[in-house]
Amino acid sequence: MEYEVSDTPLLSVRDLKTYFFSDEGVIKAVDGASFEVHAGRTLGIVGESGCGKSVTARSILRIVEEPGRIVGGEIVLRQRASSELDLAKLNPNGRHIRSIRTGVIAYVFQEPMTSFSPVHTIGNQIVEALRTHRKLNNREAHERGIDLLQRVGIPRPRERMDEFPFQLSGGLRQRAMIAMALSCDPQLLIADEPTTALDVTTQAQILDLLWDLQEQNGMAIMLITHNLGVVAEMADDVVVMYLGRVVEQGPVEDIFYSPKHPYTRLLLQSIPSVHSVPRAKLPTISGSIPHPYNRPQGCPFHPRCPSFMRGVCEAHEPELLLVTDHQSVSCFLYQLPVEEAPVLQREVLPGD
Amino acid sequence: MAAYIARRLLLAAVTIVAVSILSFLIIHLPPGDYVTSYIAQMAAQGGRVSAEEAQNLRIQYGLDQPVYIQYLRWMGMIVHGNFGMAMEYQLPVAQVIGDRLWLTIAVSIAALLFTWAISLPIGIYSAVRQNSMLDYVFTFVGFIGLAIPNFLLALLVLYFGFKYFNTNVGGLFSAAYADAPWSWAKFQDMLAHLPVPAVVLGLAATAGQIRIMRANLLDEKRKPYVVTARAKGLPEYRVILKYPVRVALNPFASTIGYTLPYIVSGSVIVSIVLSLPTVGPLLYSALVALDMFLAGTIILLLGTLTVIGTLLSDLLLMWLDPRIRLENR
Amino acid sequence: MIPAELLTPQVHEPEVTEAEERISVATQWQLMWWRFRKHKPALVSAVVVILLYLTAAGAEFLAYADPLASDAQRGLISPQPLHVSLGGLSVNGLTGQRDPQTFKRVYVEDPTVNIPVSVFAQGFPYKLFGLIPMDRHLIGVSGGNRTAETTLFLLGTDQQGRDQFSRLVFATRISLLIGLASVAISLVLGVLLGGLSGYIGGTVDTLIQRLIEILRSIPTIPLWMGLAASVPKDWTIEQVFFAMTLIFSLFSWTELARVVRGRFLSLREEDFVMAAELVGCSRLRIIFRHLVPSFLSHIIAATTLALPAIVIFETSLSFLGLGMRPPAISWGVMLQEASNVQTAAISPWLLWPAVPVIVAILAFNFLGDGLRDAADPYGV
Repeated sequence: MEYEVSDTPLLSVRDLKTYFFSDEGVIKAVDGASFEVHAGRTLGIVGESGCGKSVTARSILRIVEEPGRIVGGEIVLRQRASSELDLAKLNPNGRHIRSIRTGVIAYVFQEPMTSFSPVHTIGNQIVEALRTHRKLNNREAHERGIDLLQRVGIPRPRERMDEFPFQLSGGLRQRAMIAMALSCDPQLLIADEPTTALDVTTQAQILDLLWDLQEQNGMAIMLITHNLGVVAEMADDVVVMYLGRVVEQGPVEDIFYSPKHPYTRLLLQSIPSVHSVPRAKLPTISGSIPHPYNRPQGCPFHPRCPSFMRGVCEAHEPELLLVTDHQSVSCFLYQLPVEEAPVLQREVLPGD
Repeated sequence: MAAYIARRLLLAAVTIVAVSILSFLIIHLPPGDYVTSYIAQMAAQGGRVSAEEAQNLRIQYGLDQPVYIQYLRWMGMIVHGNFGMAMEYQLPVAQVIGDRLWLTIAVSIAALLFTWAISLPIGIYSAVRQNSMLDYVFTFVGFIGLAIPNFLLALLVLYFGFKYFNTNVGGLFSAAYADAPWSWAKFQDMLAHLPVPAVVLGLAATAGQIRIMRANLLDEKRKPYVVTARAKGLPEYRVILKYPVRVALNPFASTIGYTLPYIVSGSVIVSIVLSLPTVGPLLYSALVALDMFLAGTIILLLGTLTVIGTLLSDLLLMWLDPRIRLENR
Repeated sequence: MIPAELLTPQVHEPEVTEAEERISVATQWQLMWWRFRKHKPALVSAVVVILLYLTAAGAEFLAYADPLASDAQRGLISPQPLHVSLGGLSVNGLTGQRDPQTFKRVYVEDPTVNIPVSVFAQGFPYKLFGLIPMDRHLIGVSGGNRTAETTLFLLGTDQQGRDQFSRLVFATRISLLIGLASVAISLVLGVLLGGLSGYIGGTVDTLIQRLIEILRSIPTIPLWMGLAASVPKDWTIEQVFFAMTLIFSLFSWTELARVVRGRFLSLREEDFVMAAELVGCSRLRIIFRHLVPSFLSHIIAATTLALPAIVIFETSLSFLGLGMRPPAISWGVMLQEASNVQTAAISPWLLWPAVPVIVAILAFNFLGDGLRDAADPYGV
């Protein structure tokens, strides 16, 4: 898809903060994330496990599990040109957000086996999604369900409707999950690691499916993954997250060909390559992700950063700032810490 | 599915055989046999039995045969509906037991229904509103139910009924209907008297069931498919009731397997304390009098009853869980 | 421009907090203890259970009257509450009157008479723990002349004039001891059969599993009643005790066996077992050094949870007269006296044995729950 001048984004997340409150302390799962999703385009969110990608996605639909909740920021949805709605302010059990779930923004989960109810048929679960958001009777919903299963490439859809999740293979289950998510023609599809639980061939098929569906519907996709290969193939824009913050974002070519943030660079370096020297050590990122109760001060990445600057990185928090037309980074290599900005000297006049 | 049913049937059959063997053992455990007791009884009545008569009686009852032959003869009799003679009453055992077995079933089912009707909603509530005030209250009451043995509860209920309400809450029928033949009115009278025994019997089991439902639901509530349901835009009550409750219902239903024996078991003592015309008091008096045929038969019947009930509950479980129905584990 | 030397790679290891350090070096038992401590009801119950067993052990010391000494004249005296004042403990005295209708001596509380109750008073002689001859008791009325009017009846007397309090203290001994003995036998049977089942697997496992299922689906009370009734009437207390223990154990081993089997099955697949095998540990070493610590705590928890059931059933059967019989004293035997509702209504103190029954059951349940939670300190 070609990059177009940005139209109004379908979804704008600004400075989102989602914390988990437990007896032992507070986990700042998402600590100030900002990004935009545009219609017809795919946003890839990458990061290691535990960086807050899933929590961010769930915050959008307000399905973050206890004891987590949104403590700050905005999630602005622009369904139509004139309507703006901050999802963060909605009652998580209220009618409004419930009509948005699957009706406007749909979610595809990582583990299709455990994400389907084991004691209800596929058909039952899809029909339920349909009848929640559309005025259909059982028979009509059932027929539509068969259509949907066909669209996602499931053979013999009529029989499948009456089967239970455990009777389908992993790939088919994920397709069924996608069918259920698309049942009400959502404008945004959030796919949370949709292929992680699948083998490589199935993975490719599912990604192709998502691609085709996006072409047909013009819907936006928010693709969450830790797999950079998937991002390279599917995404138009990329957001890189670390410890609950966005450290870099931009169009996919910029991120891959001129990564700015040290973390992004190390991530890309660590992908095993066909061209690498045989028997050479695989590059890794030194250190490990800090304990959630033990967040580092200042820039969250500084303990593992090869470009660490003493006195700067651990003492101040960087902001996400544009460094080129479309690329933003949150790193002191590209900005100065606020306190050290030059102070304008004032002339000292007699009489002060 | 057929394999599952077949396995359950086989197991039930084997269990019934085991129960029959145990009952048979019990019948013959006390020293002496039927003839000895008969002689003693005759002696008490002033009669006498000669050694020859005794020996003839022994041969007649097959008491001179080896143990396993006696067992087979006994089983043969049972299959034909002949349960032997109750020595004390000088009547066939079947006649002495009469209605009591059906009443035992009635009381047990009432207790089971009570247990379910109470523990299911409370268990669900406790899991959904964890650590709320009502949750603590229910937990507390549950522990009381767990801690008081059912005969003690029956005793206390009788005591308070007598002392403060001046009524006898025991018994299953009012005086008018006690010996009357069965009629709709008698049935209604029984229904009116069932609550007290049902509650007393079921309370301890209820406490256990609440804990099980609560624990299972708490586990299931955290599972991914519940999040999926929420993400579809369903209202919260539907999310909980349609999905995790439905799944948690399986282990809950499988508890009938040991709740039923527990209730049938408990009904024996509770009916003694509450003077219910069920099998319990009969068993007790039979044991005290060492009328072993009566006692053994009652034990056999109770055991068989329980096994059949458990079998039915297994079939119910099969119907509830599609994974078993479609032979997928 | 950022100076080049500041761009040299620095690797910082995140600091480990002191709390994390403590947790990572704590032994398994320490972790379990910390977890157990969090469970308040379990802590309280542990204390209660210890107190109960101490009562059982030192029953002679705690009781102030001979539990078997009966005196029909003293039947059904109501309890005398203890008064605590600056001068010490005391109770109101009793005056004996002759009931004009029954010509029986009836004792009525007389507030004008004050009988001092002393601590470490002299009472009936006994041997503490069966060894040390003593005649001092925790409390009692000192002085040689111990007529009914000047004696202590904290919880009243039963129909045969025996002091309820002292009997209650002694009943604790038998009721708790049957529990311990039965649980011990169940433990042996359960660990043996459960272990075989889980460790060997295959047909042995299936057989034992079916056996457990069969035993579990049989209603136990009728069977116990039947077995108990068959115990000859002329057996001694000890023999009856032994028989009771056997009868209970016959069925309660199934639960323990299930727990052991479950643990063995899951442990068999654990990576650390395979690792031990690969390192070359002998089977025996694997069992004792690696497997046993993993399931020991679960066994302790399951054992504790098995005790309430035994208490309930001993009490139930003795209540019916089919379990322990007089002159043996257990809670159930004492409750039998209250089985007649009219009698209980007139003399409600006869129902007092219900209290330790309920307390013991609750305590064992809570304790078992706490132990079961703590048994898996690495779990959620």
